[in-house]
This record gives sequence, structure tokens and C-alpha cells, in this order.
Amino acid sequence: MTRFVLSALLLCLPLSGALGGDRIWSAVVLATRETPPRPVPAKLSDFQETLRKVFGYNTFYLLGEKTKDIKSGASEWLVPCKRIYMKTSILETCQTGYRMKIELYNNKDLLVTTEAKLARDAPLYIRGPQWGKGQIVAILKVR
Amino acid sequence: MTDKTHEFTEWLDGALPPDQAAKFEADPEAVAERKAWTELRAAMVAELTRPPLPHPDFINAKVLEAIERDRKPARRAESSFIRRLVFGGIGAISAAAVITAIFLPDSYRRPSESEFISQVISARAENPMVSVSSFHTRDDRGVVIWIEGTKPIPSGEMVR
Repeated sequence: MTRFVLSALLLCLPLSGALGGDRIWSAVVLATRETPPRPVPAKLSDFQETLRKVFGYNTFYLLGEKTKDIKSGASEWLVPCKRIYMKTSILETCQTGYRMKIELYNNKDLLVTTEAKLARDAPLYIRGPQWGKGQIVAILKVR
Repeated sequence: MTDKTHEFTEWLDGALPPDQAAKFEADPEAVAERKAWTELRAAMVAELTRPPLPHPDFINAKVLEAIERDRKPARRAESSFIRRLVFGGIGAISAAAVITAIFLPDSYRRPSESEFISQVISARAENPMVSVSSFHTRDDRGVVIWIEGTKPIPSGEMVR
């Protein structure tokens, strides 16, 4: 009986940790209104519809991006650009993504702390501060 | 056994040919010995014959009953072992099911549609003057955290 239980547990271990290999992509975007609108950078093409509809801008500049491996239980700094950056901690690994704590910083000021469940390929947008006539938007996406 | 003894034994049994038996027939000691042996054999046959059983069917039935009684405990022991084996198997399968239910729900459960959509569980700003709200996007299963009231970054400062 004991042997059976141990075998079952051993079988469980590799299955429960089968979500490895995911990466998190972070980006800081400046959204502006320009006439005529400028072409959207290729790396933002997947997000342009949402950026346009939700934030109401027509031109987007990719100020910086960063991709990191997701490590369970560790805090990671995602620094797409010098001024706007994020600290993430994985709280739970789920079948479809990750529950994580995210802190968004502007310089050294903590703007917002959030606990979010990020499904794969379902981005999180954070409306940041205004910069000049534009709007800073941070994007996080598990890939 | 020597040849002589063998011949003598055959003579006693009456199996010796007459020409060879003659020498024993002429010997009075051999004849006396054969007589004694014949009497002894007759007595043994008379005395050692199995006496007829009184009520043989009744005794037979009793013997069969006794045999059947002796067999039953063995059968009981055998069925008890099989029962234990079956219960052990059921127990092991149940334990495996329980362990699976405890340890593997996330791996084997079919995720619901909502689990493919990003969600904000909680969000708060450090600055009490800043408001935070969240909502889902329509096109890409995404979610937006909308912050209002943060201090703008002066246009002269670098963000990159």
C-alpha cells in the first residue's frame, strides 16, 4: 500500500510541474494622437486594436521591451525602459497561466500594486502617467 | 537369494517342475516344512481376512460427512484470502483516486473559458489621490488597469 502511494506521488510530481518554459514579455508604450497617424511598430501589431479602442490614441511608440523566463517563487524586475519598470512575483502557477503580484514604478515611485491572473497570450494593460501630450501604457503578456 | 533357496521357495509354491521337485519330495525335513508352511498360510488367510462391515452404507455416509467437514475450513480460508485481495485492490484504487483528486486537479481538469482570460484580482495605488479601476478588453482576452490622477511626467524628462 505504502509503495503504491509513493508511486502515485512520484507520478504526480512531473505532471504538476509541466507548465515550465513560459516567458513574460513587458513593454512600455507611448500613445499619442497624430495627424496623419504613424505606422504601428511590428511588435505592437497584436495590441493596436485594443490600444486604439481602449485608450483612444492612433499612434504608438515602443519605448522599450523586455522578455524574461518565468521563474516560480522568485521576484523579477522587468525594466523595459529606465523610468517605467515593474516588479513581478509569481504567486501561483495555473493550468492556463499565472497568478502574480505586479508593482508598477515611475522612477522610484510605486504607482500601483496589483494581484492579477495572467492567462497565456491575454495581455495586461496598465494606463500609466501622462508624458507630454501622450499617454504611457505598460503591457505585460505571458507567452 | 541363493539358487537353492529360490528352488525351495518355488517348490513350496508348487511351481517347480516334477524332475527338480523330486529331491525335495524325498527329503522328510522339506516335506515337514512345507506342511507347516501350508498350515500357517491357511491360518493366516483364515485369520487375516477382513470381517464384513455391519451397515456399510451408514458408515460410508459418515465417512463422507467427515471428509466434507474437513474440507470446509480450507475453502473458507481460501475465500477469505480472495476477499482480502479484492478489498485490498479496491482500497488501492480508492487511494489512487483520492491522491489524484488532491494532487492533480489542475493538471487534469478541463479549464473553463474564463481561465483563458486575464483577470485583475486586486489593485491599489500607493497615493490616496490616485484612483485605480480595471476592466476586460473585448478583442484579446486581456485586462486593463486604469489609473487616474498620477502626476504627469514632464515632457522635458526622458522616459526611455
